[in-house]
Amino acid sequence: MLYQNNHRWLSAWLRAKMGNKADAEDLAQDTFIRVLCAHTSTQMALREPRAYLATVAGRLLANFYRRQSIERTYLEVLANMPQSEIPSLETQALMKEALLEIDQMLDGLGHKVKQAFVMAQFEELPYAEIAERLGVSLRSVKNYVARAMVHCSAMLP
Amino acid sequence: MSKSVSPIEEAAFWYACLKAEDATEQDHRHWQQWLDASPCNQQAWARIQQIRSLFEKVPGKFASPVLAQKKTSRRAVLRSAVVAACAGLTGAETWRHLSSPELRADFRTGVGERQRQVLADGSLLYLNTRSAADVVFDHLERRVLLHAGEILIETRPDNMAGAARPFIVHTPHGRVRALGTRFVVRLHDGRSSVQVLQHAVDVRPALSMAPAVRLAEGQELSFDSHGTDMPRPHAAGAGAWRDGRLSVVDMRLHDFLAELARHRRGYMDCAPELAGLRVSGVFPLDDTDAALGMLADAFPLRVRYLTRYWATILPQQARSGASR
Repeated sequence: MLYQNNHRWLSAWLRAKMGNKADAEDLAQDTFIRVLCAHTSTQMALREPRAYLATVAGRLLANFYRRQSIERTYLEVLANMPQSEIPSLETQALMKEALLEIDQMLDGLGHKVKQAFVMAQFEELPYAEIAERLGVSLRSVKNYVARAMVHCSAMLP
Repeated sequence: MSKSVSPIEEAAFWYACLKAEDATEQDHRHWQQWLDASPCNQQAWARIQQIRSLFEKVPGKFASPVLAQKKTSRRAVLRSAVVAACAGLTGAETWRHLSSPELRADFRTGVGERQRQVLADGSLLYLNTRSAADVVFDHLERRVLLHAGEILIETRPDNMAGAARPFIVHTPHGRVRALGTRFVVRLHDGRSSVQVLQHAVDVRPALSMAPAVRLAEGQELSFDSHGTDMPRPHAAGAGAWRDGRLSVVDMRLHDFLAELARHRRGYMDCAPELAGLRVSGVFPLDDTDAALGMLADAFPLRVRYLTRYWATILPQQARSGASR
C-alpha cells in the first residue's frame, strides 16, 4: 500500500532534486527498503506517509552527496599524482572504500578537532606545528587527537 | 585521571600522548603500566589499534586532502539548476560572422597531444587531444572559437583598461559565456557540451531565442543550435585530462575505450560481452598501453595487439587453454 500509493510521487520528488532519473530511482528504492524494514515507525508512516518518506529520503540523499563529494575529491587527488604513483585499480577501489568509512567515522567531529586530527594522523605533522597553524595550545592539540579517537571508537561498529 | 574516565578515553589519551613528537621513554613506561593494569585497558587499547589499522589502509597523501575538505552544500548547487539570464544580443548571430579578427591565434593539437596556452589577458586555454581553436580578442569581446575537440578555459579578469570584455567560447552550435573561472567545452557530432568546474557559465544556442541557460558549478549540459538539454551533475573526473589523466566512475568499458581512443593512434575495440563491464579509476593518458595494462591487471581480460595500432580487449582465456 505504502509503496503503491507513494512510489511514483517519491521518485518524482527525488528526480526533481537530483536531476537524474537512474539515481532517483535507486534512492527511492533504498528509501522504501529502509522504511519497510523499520517496522517500529509504521505508526507515523501510516499517518503522514509522505512527510515520513521525504525525511528518510532526505537523509539518504545527503549521504549520497557526501559520498559523491568524497569520491570526486579522491579522484582529483589521484589525478594529480605523478604517473609512477598511480595505484592499481584494485588499490584505488580499496582506498576509496576505506576513505568513505573513515569519513563516516570522523563525521560529527567539531571542525577544529577534525582539522587537528587529520593533520596529526594523516599528514603526520608535529603537534607544535599543528598548534601554530590552528592558533591553539599544544595541550589542545593533544586533547583534540584524544577526543577524535574516542569519537572514532564510538563510531566503530 | 579521575575515576569517571572510561578505559577507551584513557586509551585515546595515551594514543595522543605517544603520538606526540616529544613523547619520552617515561611516557612509554607509564603507558605500559597502564596497559598491564587491567584487561579492560587492553581491550580499549585493542580498539584504538583497530581504528588505526583502518587509517593505515590509505596513505596520508591520499587521505588528508580528501578528509580535510569542507562540506560543500550540494543542495545549493542543485537549487540553481536553471536560472534564466537576461537576454543580450539576438541568438541568431552565427558562427561565420566571427572571422574578422584583430588579434588572432590558431592552436591545434594532434592525436595524443595536449597544449596549454596563456592568452593575451592572462587567461589559460588548454587543448585536449585532436583539438583546434582560434583566439580572437578585439575591443568588445574575448572570444575563443572551438573548431574541433575539447578545451578547458581558466579565465582571468580582463586586463584591458576601461572595459571588462566578456569572455565567450563560440562553437558551431552556440555560445558559452564565462561568469567565472573554469569550464570545459567539447564538440561532438552535431552537438556541443559544457562542464562547469568552477563558478558558472551562460549557454546560448545559436538559433534559439530563449533566454540563456545558466549552468552552475558541478553541472554539465549539451546543446545543439536549437536548444539545450537539462543540466545534470557532471561526471566525476571532468577536466582531469588537463593533468594527463582519464578519470572515470562506473563507465561502460565500451565508452571507456572510446574515450581512451581519442588519445591514441589506431583502432581499439572490445569483445561484445565485455562492452558493459563497469570501469572506475584514474588512468594515465600519456601512456595508453599502460592504461590498458591496468585494466588487464584488474579484470579477467587481456589485451591483444593485432598490430601496434590495433588493440582488442578479450575475455581472459579459460585456465585449461592458457597457453598463449
